Amino acid sequence: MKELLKTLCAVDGASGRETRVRETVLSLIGDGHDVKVDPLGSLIVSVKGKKPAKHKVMLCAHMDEVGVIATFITGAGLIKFTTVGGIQPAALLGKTVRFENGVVGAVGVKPVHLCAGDERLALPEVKDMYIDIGAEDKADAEKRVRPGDVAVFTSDWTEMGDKILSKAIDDRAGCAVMVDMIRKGVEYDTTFVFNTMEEVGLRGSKASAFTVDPEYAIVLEGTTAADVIGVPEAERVCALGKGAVVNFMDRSTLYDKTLYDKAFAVANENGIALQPKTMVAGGNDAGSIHVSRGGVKTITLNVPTRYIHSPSSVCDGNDLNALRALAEKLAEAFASGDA
Amino acid sequence: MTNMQELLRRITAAPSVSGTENAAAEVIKDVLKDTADRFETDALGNLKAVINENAEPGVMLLAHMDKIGYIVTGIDKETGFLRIDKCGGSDARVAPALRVNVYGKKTLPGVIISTPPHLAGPDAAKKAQPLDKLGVDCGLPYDEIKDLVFPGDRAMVDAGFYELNENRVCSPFLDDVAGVAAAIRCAELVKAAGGGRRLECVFTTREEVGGQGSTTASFATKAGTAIAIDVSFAKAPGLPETVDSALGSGAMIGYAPVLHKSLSDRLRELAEEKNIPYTVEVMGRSTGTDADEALTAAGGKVTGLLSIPIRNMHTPVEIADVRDVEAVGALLAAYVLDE
Repeated sequence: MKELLKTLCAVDGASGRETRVRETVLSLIGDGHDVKVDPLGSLIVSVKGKKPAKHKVMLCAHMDEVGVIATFITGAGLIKFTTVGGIQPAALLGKTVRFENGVVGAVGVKPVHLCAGDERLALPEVKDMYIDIGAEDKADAEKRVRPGDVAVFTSDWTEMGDKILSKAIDDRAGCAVMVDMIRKGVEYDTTFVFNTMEEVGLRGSKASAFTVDPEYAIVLEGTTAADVIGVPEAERVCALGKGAVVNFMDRSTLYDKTLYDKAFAVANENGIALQPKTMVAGGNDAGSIHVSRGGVKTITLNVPTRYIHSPSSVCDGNDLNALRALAEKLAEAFASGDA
Repeated sequence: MTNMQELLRRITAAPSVSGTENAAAEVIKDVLKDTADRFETDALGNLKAVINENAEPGVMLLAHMDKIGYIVTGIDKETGFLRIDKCGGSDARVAPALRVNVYGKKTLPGVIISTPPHLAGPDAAKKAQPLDKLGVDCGLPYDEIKDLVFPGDRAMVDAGFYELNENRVCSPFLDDVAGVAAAIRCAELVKAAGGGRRLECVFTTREEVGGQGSTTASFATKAGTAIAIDVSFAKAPGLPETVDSALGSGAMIGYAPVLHKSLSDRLRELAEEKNIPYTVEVMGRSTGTDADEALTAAGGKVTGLLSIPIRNMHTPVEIADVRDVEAVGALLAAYVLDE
């Protein structure tokens, strides 16, 4: 699982530019599957199980990651940009980003020595930031970056004990789980969807859920974990090393209580660590899927992830394995009618 | 001649947060092993490389090999996260989600925490947290990390070294790795040309925390002339219009009440004679560099300052133009060879 995640996190794919991630997924799952790419770029993989499913189950994860998009090149050759997906200003300032053609740029900062008083801790708005690719002037910059080009954080995969640090764990973790399930085979016929454009309004999943028309959906995600220094327990949302995470409610979905309870029952039966997401925060593709067509019974399972939407998100390899195990068992329960 | 980009890359990688500069000293010694007649070190860790040992008069170059970073102030028992404060003038605005290495009993990778979005209050996007409110996550529980890291250990950013194009590099610590590289280039040029003054290249410690290295090195030298080599602000958006030295515009020749005008003038004449590009940087008082300590040391020195313009000073994305580093190296060599 860890190697799969490493391979997938290394690929750059901001929302709307997921082609390389999709190609990587396709090469990882190999030939012999019923594969379809929809008009929004989402990849739909129908996998034959040992048995037909009583209920149609869709597992999904999103391929896109947060990034930035070039909007304008200044006369001095600096690149104005806006964010693709939600990124806090402090996560951008002083960081490096990589464009699709490999050009690296840095988000510039006014030197702190030249700031007085409160300005020393003041964060500029994104509209006042710029990316510096080392260009001499506008013409020089335009040889390498044009408005509309996108970039993502640079980041080197780092292992810290059981923990993993990388960009894009949200949601290559979900992609890695699905790739592993496809490779190892499934008990019941199952549809896997690798969605596009989650970070910009749950768009890929809206289209693909219509196309797949499932009865049950399991959304696999990376969700924010705030188990960090200085945060009271009640505000931590979930914690690394305590297993997969299941949502009862977030800002996109009020989840089906039967499915929520079933997740804990299945986790218990199989000795899989599972924790509730203890704050109503964030949202994910479940928001568009559960109201698709006439409605889809939907659940979200996550790997807890610190510093989400930054160059250095951190998750725990054991939680990733728990997510993998629970996704399989829960999919089987739904497909077999045991839910 | 050592390739400039490779030289910068190599010195940048050596851990040398203020007060712990040994690893950088070893790298510099290795680079200059065939160039220097001999090396000396002192009680504060300064490294002196001597060339033209028996010549008179002598000139001392001062380039600081310490880097800004962080110092561990404690370990949180509940989370195992390290509490830190700045060691040198690290910019708190860029700290969230930065990859760092902690130099404890062994080198541990870690990340400076960033406040999770759901806990970020309305002001979080506008105001950064001071460093003592953040912490470093090494992914290890208290019971493990307490035996590996102790208060007083240093941590340093690990943000990569990028060649943005053929001339511009982006990396943490170009302050003062660029100055160190210019001093090395000067030594190589002098050695290759033969002759000239006695050259003492002093790679100083602790510049970022007050210039104590320069204080003792300047006391100990017999050279009557001292030239500090540091970085200064390059022209960039949002800076005062008086900050006018562009990247690629050559050496910055310092003029200040604490610098000898005769020496600044001589450096300017040499730049004109040798066609070395330069700009003039005028400061109204002291310089904030190793030159300030050199001026009054051991009865006083004739003191000068050459700077390399960089952008984004004291952030992980300092940007320099290698042509400026070469210009400073060439101008220094011209001075040393000008008997």
